[in-house]
This record gives sequence, C-alpha cells and structure tokens, in this order.
Amino acid sequence: MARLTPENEALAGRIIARYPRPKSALIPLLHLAQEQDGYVSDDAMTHLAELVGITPAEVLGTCSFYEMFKREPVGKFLVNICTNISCVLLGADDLLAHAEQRLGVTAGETTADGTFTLEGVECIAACTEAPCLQVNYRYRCSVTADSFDGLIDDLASGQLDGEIPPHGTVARIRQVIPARSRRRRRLARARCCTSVDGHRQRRQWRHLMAVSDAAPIITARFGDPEAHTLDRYRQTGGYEGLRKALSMTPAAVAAEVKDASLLGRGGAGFPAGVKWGFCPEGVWPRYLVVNGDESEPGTYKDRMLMERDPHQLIEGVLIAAYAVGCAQAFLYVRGEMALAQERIAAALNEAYAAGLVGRNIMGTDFSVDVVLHWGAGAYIVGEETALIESLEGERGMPRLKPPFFPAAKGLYMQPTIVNNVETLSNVPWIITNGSAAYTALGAEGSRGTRMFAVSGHVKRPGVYEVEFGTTTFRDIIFAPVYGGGISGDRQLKAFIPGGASAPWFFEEHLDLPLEKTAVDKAGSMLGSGAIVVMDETTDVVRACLSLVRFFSHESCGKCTPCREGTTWLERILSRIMAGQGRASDVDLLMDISDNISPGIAWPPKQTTICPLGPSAVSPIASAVRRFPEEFAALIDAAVAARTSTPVSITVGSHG
Amino acid sequence: MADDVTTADDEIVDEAPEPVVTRKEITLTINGVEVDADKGELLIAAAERHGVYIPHFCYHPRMEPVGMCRMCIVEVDTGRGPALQPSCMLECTEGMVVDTTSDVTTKAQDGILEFLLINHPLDCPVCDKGGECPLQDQTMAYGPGESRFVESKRHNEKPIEISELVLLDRERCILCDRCTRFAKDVAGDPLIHFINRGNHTEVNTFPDEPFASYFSGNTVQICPVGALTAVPYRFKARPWDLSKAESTCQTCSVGCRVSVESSRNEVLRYQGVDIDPVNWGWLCDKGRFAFESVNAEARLGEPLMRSGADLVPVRWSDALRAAADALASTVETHGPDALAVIGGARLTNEDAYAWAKLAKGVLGTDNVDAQMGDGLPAELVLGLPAATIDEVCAPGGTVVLMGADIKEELPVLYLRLRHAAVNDGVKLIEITPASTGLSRYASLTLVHRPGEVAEAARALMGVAGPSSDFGGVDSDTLAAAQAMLDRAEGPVRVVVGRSSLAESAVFTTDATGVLHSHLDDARFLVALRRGNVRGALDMVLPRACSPGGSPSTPVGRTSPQPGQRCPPPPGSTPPGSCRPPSRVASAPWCSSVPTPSATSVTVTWPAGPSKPSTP
Repeated sequence: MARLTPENEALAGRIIARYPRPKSALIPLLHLAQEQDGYVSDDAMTHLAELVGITPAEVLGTCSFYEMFKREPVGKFLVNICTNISCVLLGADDLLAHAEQRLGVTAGETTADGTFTLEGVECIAACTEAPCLQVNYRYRCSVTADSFDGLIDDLASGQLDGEIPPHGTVARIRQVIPARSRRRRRLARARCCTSVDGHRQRRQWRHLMAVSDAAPIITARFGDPEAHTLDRYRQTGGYEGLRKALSMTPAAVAAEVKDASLLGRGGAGFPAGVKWGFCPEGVWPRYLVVNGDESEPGTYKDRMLMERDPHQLIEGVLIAAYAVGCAQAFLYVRGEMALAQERIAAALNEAYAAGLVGRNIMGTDFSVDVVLHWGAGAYIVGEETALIESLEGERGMPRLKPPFFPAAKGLYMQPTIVNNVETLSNVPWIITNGSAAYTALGAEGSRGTRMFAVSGHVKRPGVYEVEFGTTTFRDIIFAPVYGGGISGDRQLKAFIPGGASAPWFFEEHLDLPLEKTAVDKAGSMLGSGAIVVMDETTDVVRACLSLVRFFSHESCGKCTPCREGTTWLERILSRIMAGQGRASDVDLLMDISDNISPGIAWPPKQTTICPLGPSAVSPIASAVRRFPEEFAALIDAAVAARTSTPVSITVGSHG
Repeated sequence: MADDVTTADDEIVDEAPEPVVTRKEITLTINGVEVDADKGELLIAAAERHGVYIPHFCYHPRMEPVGMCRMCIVEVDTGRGPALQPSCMLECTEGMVVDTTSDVTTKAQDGILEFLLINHPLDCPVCDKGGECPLQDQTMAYGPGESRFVESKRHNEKPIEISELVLLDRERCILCDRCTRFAKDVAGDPLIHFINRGNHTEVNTFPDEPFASYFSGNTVQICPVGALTAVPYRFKARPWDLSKAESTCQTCSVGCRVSVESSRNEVLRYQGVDIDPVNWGWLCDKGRFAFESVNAEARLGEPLMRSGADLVPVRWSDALRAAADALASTVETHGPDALAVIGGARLTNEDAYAWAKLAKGVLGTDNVDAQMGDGLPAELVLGLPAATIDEVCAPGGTVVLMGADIKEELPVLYLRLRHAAVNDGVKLIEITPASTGLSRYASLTLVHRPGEVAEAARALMGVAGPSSDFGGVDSDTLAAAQAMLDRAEGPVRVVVGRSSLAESAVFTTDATGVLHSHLDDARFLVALRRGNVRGALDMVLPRACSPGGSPSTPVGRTSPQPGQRCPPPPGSTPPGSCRPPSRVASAPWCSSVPTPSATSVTVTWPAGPSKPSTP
C-alpha cells in the first residue's frame, strides 16, 4: 500500500508537534498508518522514517515489537479471543475452538473472504466478565458459543458497522490541542461533545457498584453513566481538588500526598508522595507519565477509571504536575483500550476548552500540557522504564535500575515521575478532603481504599473498591456483596492474590487482610489488585501453562534468562500437557526457575533486568510445590505410555 | 611475522601508555582482595584491571554498557547484603564487596550460559568464529557437558546477506546488541536493528535496505559469536592457522592500527587493533577490505616494459637497467631539472627518504612530490602548530572543521569526531561548501560558495575581505559561530584540508592562514587524504629541500614550547591586517604540484608478502 495521504501527513505533523522529540510520535503515527491502510506497509514505514527523521530499520524495530501492528493485511474484523487465566478458567479454550470451527480458520488466520481474522490473545482486561473477546478492540464479554455466532452474523451483515470501525481504527476521537484562540476553543468543544454523544456505548459492566462499608473514593461516580462528561464531573465536586491545590504551594500539595501514605497502585506499592520527592533539585524540565498500560492478567481497574471517570484522572494528573513542577504530562493508555482512549481524548478536549489544561490553568500562572499517548500491545510496557522507552518511540524494553531510576533519569534522561492511573485518581480526593481523612481509612501501612478485581471461579466476579486492611480474602471471595462464593459451591483450590505475577495463595491464606504488609509477609503481593479464584476442578498444569505462556509471549527479549528461560519453561509445560513429559521435567522446571530467580524466594531475586522473569516463576513454584501430584500424574502416564509404545521425540542438543 | 597480535575485541591489550590517573579514589574488595578503582569506573573494568576476569558477551569497552546478556552478573554487597548485579553496569563504590566466585554467582552464570546455548546451533566446526569465539571459550571453560534442552531449536534461513560484505546467520546470534549498538551509537548508521519481540527477536535490516554503512565490517569483528561473518573471509581459514602482523592501514592518512592476518601466504583479513590515540579498534570498510587488492588479478606482479603497443614482462635487472639508462640519458640530454620523481603516498618513511635521496642527491632534481591529491604545501602541513586526534576530540572542546568531508575521506576520524560531538560535548563548527557526513552532528554549519572558503574564514574571524557577503555564509549562522568561538573554553582546534581537489589549494592555504593568525593558540590537524603523505613530507619528498635536511622554511612540526610560538606559515596574516588573495597565490608554497613537462619514472612494487608496510 502506500505512503500517508496528504491529509494524514498533515495530521502526522500535528501529532509530532506535541512531543519534545519527534520519535516519541512514532507509535501514534504507526497507528495512523494502520488506520489508513488496515495494516502497516513497508512504504508507510519508510514515509514515517522520513517524517520522524530516523531510518526505516528503526521504524521496523519499533513496529515489530508491538502486537497490534500488522505488517500484512488482515480481515476487516480482527476477532481477538482472550486465552489468559481468568478466561481460560471459564471456558476460553472451548470458545476459541468454537470460533475456529465457526469461521473455518485456525487462530492467526484470515477467512477466505477477507472479513475475519481470528486470534487467540493474552489478557485484554475484562477478566471479571470472562470469557471475553474484542472485535477491532471493541469488547464483547461473557461470550458463549451462541452469542459468538450471533456476533459473527451481525458483523457479516454489516449491522455493527456503526459501532465497530474497520480494522486499523482504534480510537475515533483524537485529542486536539487547541490554539489559544476563543474560536478554536469553541470548535474543540463542539467536536468532542458531538463525538462522545454519537458513540454507541455498550453497557458491559455488571457488578460495579461500590459496596464497601466506607464511602467510595475513586469509584464514587461509577453509578452515573454521564460521569465522564465535564459538566457532570463538575456538578459532583470535580476540579475542586485542583482549585484547592492551586491555592497551596506545590510543596504543601506534595506534603499532603506524602502524609496520606498513598501507595502506588501499579503493583510495586511504592508510596507516591515519596516518589515525587525523588526528583533532583533544580533539574528541569520534569515530566509526569501516567501509566495506563494495564495488562496484568486478572487486572481490571485502570480501564474502568479511564472509561468512567476520566476527569478524575486528569485532575489527579494536574495536581501531581503542579506538585512536582512538570512542564508536560503524558497519559499513556493501553493500545487495545479504544473506549478509554476516546473518553480521555474527549475529556482532555473539554478540559482544554474550559481552561483546565494548558496555559494559565484556572487563571493562575500554572501551565501544563497533557498529551494523550497510546500503546500498541505489549505487556512489558507496564514496567515504568519500558513505558518511558515506549514513549520515546522505542521498543518497550526496560532500562536497568540502577542507574536509570525515572525520577532522576527518565523520559529523555530528565527527571520523570511515573504514576499509575488508580494512584493519581486518588489524588483529587486527598487534596479535597485532606490527608488525615485518607489515613483514617485503611490499615497501618496501607491507607485509603483500593480497587480489587475478583475473577475466575466465583459467583459474582466484579471490581470492588474496598477499604484497605479491613477486608480479608475470605470476605472478598465469599461475602455475598463481593464474590459471593465459589461457583457451584465447589471447594477452593487456590487463588492468585495480586495479578499473574504473584505467587498463589491457598485455603490457609483466606483470613489475611487485604493489606500490603500482611500479604508481603505471607509470601505474595497485592500487586495490581487482581484476585483470580481457582476451584477444585481446575487443571493446575493447564492454569500454570496459561500464565507461563503469557510471560513467555510478553518477554521483551532484552535479557537472556527471561527471553530463553520463560520460553523454555513454556515448552516443557506444553510438552507435559501434550503427554510427552519426562521424569526429570519437574526438577528441570524448578532449576530453570532458579536460574531466572535464584532461590525462588519472596520477594524474588532475579538474574533478569526487570521483574517479568521472576513473574513467570511464581505460578510454577506455586503449582509445583503445592500440587506435585498433578504434574507427576501427567508425567507418569506419559512415561508409562512411552514404555509400552515407543514414540519418537526430538532429543539432543543439535536439533 | 609475529603471531601474538591482539585484535580489537575483548582480549585487547591496550598498547598505549596508561593514562596518568591516580586510581586511589575508591577502595573495594574483590574476592577478598582489597583493590582501588576510579570514581565511576565500571566494576567489570576494575576487576579486569586487577586480574579478575568476569565473563561477558554484550559488554564492550568502547561502547555504552547495556547489561543485556547477564553473563557478567556477580554477587555484590553494598551494605545491604549480597545481591546479583551486572558488573558491566555497576560503578564501583566505596566499600563494595564483590564475589565473582561464590556459589550463587557461579550458579547464575552457569544458568545464563545454558540459556544462551539452548538455541545456539553448536556448529562450531563449520563456523568462522570457532577458535576465537567468546561463547565457545566460555562454554569450554565453564559450560555444561550436556544439554538439558530436548526441544527443537530455533531455525532461520542462513545466511542472509545484510550487505555486500556482511552475512548474518541469525540462529547463531545471542542478541547481545553489540552490532546494533555499534551501528547506532558508534557509526550513526542504524540500518540494522532488533526486529520482533521476546523469543522471536532477531537482528535484521529493513526489507531491501541493506546495512550500507562505511563501517559494517566492525560488526563482524565485535560479534561475540559467528552470527556475522565477512564475505571475503567466510570459510577461508581457521583462526589458529592465521599468521598475524601488526601494521598501519594505508588506505587514508588516519593511520589506523591493524592486524594483517594471512594463511598459506595469502592475506585473508584485516582486524582493527585497539589503540587509544587513533582508531579505538575500529576500521572503515575501505580499510578493512582493501586488502583484497593485494592479490587482485589487476595488480602488477612483475616489471613490464613497453615494446611498441604492448607491455612485455621483463626481469627486474633488465627493468632497472632500462630505467637507469633512461634517467642517465635524460640528465645528460636535458639536465636534471627535466626529471621529476613522484613518490607514492603509501610509502613508508624509509622508502620516501630513499626516494628523496635518489632524486635530490643522485639525480640532482628538486622536482619531487608525494601528494597525489591534496597538493598542500609542506610548510603548511608541517608548519602549523599540530594537534593530535585526541587533542582535537578532547571533551568539551570547540573544533572548526574546514575542508574535505571527513566521513568520505578519513572515515575513522569521522567516528572519533562524531563520538566527540555526541558523547563528549565537543562543539563542531563546519566551514564547507556542501553538507557533509558530519553536518548532522555539527553545532553549526557555515555553507559558503565553492572557492570562497577564505572569505568565509575571514568573515568568521571578523576581518574585512573582498567579498561583501561573507562568501555566501548566512549572517545569522556566522554570528552564532563567532559567539560560540568567543565562548570556547581552551584553545580552539582546527581540522583543515582541501574540500575539493577540483579547486586550487590556494583557497585552503589562504583560509588556513586566516584562522592561524586570528585564533589564539589554535592547533591544527591537517586532514590529508592519502596514506603517508605526511611521512613523505617529513622525509622531505617535497621540492626545495635537501634529503635528510629540513624544509626550506624553518618551522617545526612539533607543537611549540610554552612561550614560544611557531612562525606563521606564509599564507597567514598578522591580526588586524588583511592581505588580498593574489599575494597568497604567488607565495612559493603554493606550487608543489609538479609540472607535467618533465619526464617521470614510475616503478611499481611487485605483489606478495614483501609489500612494504609502515614500521
């Protein structure tokens, strides 16, 4: 296909102009090329290389790293069925098999008429409504074989063309950074309002009401379908936190957040206020980067915050930027989250038009530019240094810490604060109500509330905002207002307490409070707030394979133990599952794990650059230690079968 | 030929004198022994300096570390208990305790080696790298005897041609980022790149866009496995069969240190040798692969004498006698001034001296020259206060570039200047008629009209000249350049050469004179194109000098002593005055190109191992 059209080239110029360095625009530009042609052609990459001032090989290096960019034409509808843990527990394998049969293709192929391309993909962040899929990045949840057939019929007949754009288009609303003229402001407002209203929003979520004893903080507006608009947000106290912050000194704002002991909600749980204080004195400019690349299997909270209450996030961003002294903030949203991108784009357009973002915010001399940036499918970009690399237009490969701690050497080697969406969404409330009100909630070491996604084998999967420390795992899995108990009243086998990277918990851990210190001490983590429940019928080896395959698939390939080790683990597990296990396999799995994460302990040590490698070890160590008999059963059967019937498998180092 | 030449890779023994640094800032403990280290020194380098070798693949001392292969992880205790850290990324700190032999370290390193090997084809018997391969060496030393990997390995099409000179066998690649880092960070030609992700990552080019870098051969040399191989060397020899002799590359005047490697009396490859003052181990492809001319069919292998329309092979004695007779009869008939001698620009100093002695002492002619290209007067080349490459590239300095496109003519000097500009904060101010390979790294590029370089130089120095528009240089750029020179800390360095051989050397000499007169304490690096022109000039191959004597203008080639200033070359003018170009054009040092009216004699050296090389 082709180079960019003149219109798209002009648009590309405007996108490039938003960034301090042109290469940062590369991922949005690759999306633009894909939107134009349905895939990213070699000619388009050459054109982008010219526009950005790099070589085509560099464009290809970035393009080929990200899952969403297709270098060959695909069907009009890209059907992505999630095959990760929460969906697998609820029948995703069967759904994919059905889809293959229905469409007459195997996963990864396109139908002969060029209408559908089917893919089995990793977690797409709708875990509480499993099994789920996306068609051109529009969600369909709790999909059954029948509803899948209905969806395919509707798509084929063109009934959904209004809702689902052809492959290549992700968000249909673009951020417009307006010129500072009144006329342009009005135009921007008109455009964004029309677009939002014209968007047919599907009601996907079911159990989203906050049911904590305490009043909810960040999900307070979730019941209101119009909460994402500026008017409604302001009617419900929106931007009052910013107004109050602007009346304080930046240092006082930072101190308030530090006093609130707001723990980072991305996974590591580092106090946000402390992080803000790490920027070296007198080094400018500083940047704020918002991590909205939520991809940890089982996790489903940032997407909701971005879709349902984008202004709350933006307000948090503005307050943080004010406290830290950032000239520019980048809101990095996961590539597959089309609706979140649209909602944030619309909200930013409204906020710019209302003088809440941009120059002289609320009439003060505080100015900050907030740029919506979006990814293109790479879990590893959720790691903060990889996120920064990605924002620089590079392959999302983590940097080594030390020396590249973002607060000192981050985006463009300048001081950069990277905060998670949920973390920043708490900030307006903290400023409005004060840190004392915040620390009154929760437990020692874990203040405030926290969103937890409960998925897998529970009766009421959902996302719940609960007070830290006052609720136990037993409550959130079994209480009628939360998970409601195990599906079919079966027995609990295991549960993942904090996303796929976390070591598993079992029956004896149910009474631990949802509180960082206690969970850390028990040998796992609250991580990203994703609780995945497995009942007694769960095939542990299959579940383990699902998780390890995810990490192997998402390894960036930068460091040896992760690149080679996770893949090796996955292949051994696949072999065991396929009835080709060997007696030495369990020991080998554990020894490979030990070479990735020496000692297989918690908190993990690592031979890798970033924690992705040890994350792949968590499910293996948990499963092998707790359920060795399940591995042994598969392996013994395979060994017995081989003894009676010789089979040939590839053996040897020269294969 | 000596066998024990080291080449530019990990095992380099740096022959340059150790820089005078007091290494006593930091004390740390490595394997129970207290050692000292520089502030900011990487642990892997400090350990090696103290005789503790830490295995590694991605670390290369001439490139930024990336900590990717993880082979060099060792247990380090900085006060918070021992933890595994990559020693290539870790700077030494006071009191650090390092154990490179602990059980944890050994287990981790063994694990990494096993990971690297599981997908490696282990085709050492047919691999060019076998015998000098870090992966093979590490495996021999520490590796497991058997593989636990029973799965099938990665397979790739092999080899793929990433350029006309370099082949890539991707299944051998261990993704250490050396070649791609070199291409991007050292050469500035990111035409090879990591493609795809995770276990599918590979190095490759953009489709139909080859790795057309002037420096591609270096990637073959620094590849720690046999993934990148050079077309001229592939399957030609085993490393242990090679005879190696250290020498100097003659392709241009940079003087890169090379190891000439041959087998069965045939030169098979050049490898760069890492020396601090010049090439840091790098070579350009022209230098690296020009050795093929040694055995080229078109090369003369014996003396030829013209007989009618044909050139007929003759014996050396006959050829020499015929030449001697021709010389003698010419002197007898027309006098010695009818003779001219052109010494080759690639001669050694000894050869050049012999030529000069023959011409001036025996034949009695002063019509001698060694320059086939630049045609710059010896007084200019030798008389300017000289700067070494290191002095030009010293961190934080300001450099004026005037003349040839360095990337095209002196590629390895381009690498040094590029590094200085990108990594060491050196400001480059170019005065050029067209954009050059260095323009994108230059702080300012003053583009002048062809032939008006002297006008541009005058404008830059703020002295009046005949041109009212500064030779076509944009006045804003000019003002910025003047401001930059005013702000320069320390003396300005000037790289000077002739931008185009199609225009008179006078323009260059004139402009050089202007800069020399007006830039206080400036030092000059004269960028001559051909191999050893400078040596030939030193050995008085230019006219108007007697063999073994000194140039007719008594200026030294060494830098002036403190308080002593070199006499300016004739083209220069005292500060505040301005001389019209016509006077310069008539200066005696501008006429070193021999006139074609005289009879010239050229003798071609035979091919073979006796080919002269610089000492």
